[in-house]
Amino acid sequence: MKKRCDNDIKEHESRTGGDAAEALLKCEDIQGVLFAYMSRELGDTQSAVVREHIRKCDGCRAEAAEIEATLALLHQDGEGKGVPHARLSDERRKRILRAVFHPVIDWVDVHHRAVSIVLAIIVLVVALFVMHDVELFRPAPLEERIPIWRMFKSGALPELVERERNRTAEEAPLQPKVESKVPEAVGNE
Amino acid sequence: MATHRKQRKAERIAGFELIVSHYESPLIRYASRIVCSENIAQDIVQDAFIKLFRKWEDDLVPGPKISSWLYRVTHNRAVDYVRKQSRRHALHERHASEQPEFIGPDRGAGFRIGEGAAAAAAALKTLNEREQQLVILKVYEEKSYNEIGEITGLTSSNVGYILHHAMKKMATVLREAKVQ
Repeated sequence: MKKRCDNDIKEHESRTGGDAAEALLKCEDIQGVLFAYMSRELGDTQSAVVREHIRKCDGCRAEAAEIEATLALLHQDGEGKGVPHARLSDERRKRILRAVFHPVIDWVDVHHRAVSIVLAIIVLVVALFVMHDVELFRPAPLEERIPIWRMFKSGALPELVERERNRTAEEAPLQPKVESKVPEAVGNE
Repeated sequence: MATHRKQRKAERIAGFELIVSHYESPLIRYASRIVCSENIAQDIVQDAFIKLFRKWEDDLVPGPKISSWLYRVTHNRAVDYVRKQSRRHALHERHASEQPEFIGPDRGAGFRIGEGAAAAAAALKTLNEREQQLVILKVYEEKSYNEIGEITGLTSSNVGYILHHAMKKMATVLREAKVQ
């Protein structure tokens, strides 16, 4: 590595005729900002230093030419692949307008899956509550559970329905009988 | 009070329409270069505009602040998209087989991209994700180091350092391909 540096110094000395070590350091610094110089990112003073250095130094000039050529090719590629007057499609414009004018509808549309799931859960819960209160379905005692097809076959279905009705009536809470207490006649005394 | 609010909303909508027509083209072009698909780029830009209208509280007037904001949102969404695709290990396969190659606009039969330009595009693909994004912002979008810093969240000196190395890498690739 040292040998290579020495060679660089000698080569640079022959090119510039200045202080070799200082000049090499300067080359490294200059090459580090070459792209910034070409992109006009450097201030006036720094640009002047870089310009002056490139004018004198063949190595840095070659490096600059290489970066310039790369940039030119990239620009050429950009011209081919660019989308110069790309516009949003009508559908997307409509979607933007909807988001601007009807944010709630737009939100529901965007999150339609989550909204559907939540709504389905709510409907299910409400239905369960209603069913529980109304007692639309009440399981029969275990011994009475007979397959429905057998009930039809044996003709026992009406009888079972009647039995169930009687059982429900029996289980109904008994209303406390209101006994009319007739106050004893005062006149008996 | 209600009239004032209505007037303000009308002003915002007018400003917003102006911003959409002003920035849609450069943003779609930028996003297309990152995600390699104009269709997905349009989705990304559409979302960026909607987010702008919802989140931007100052006046909606085209300017450097809004430009940087829009580029940052577009950049982040495009990068997220590319990362998701990479994570599924499908990006390269899809680019190679399923998805058609990104096709530029029709510029007539006489227009052809030279071999050098194709080699430059290939050299650009050899860079890592961040280097590619910075080169696109600098070379194609012609953003300054400061603007690139605002968009990507890097410091200006960091942007300069990464770009310098990216250009050197590309120059080496092109030299080896004997294009230069």
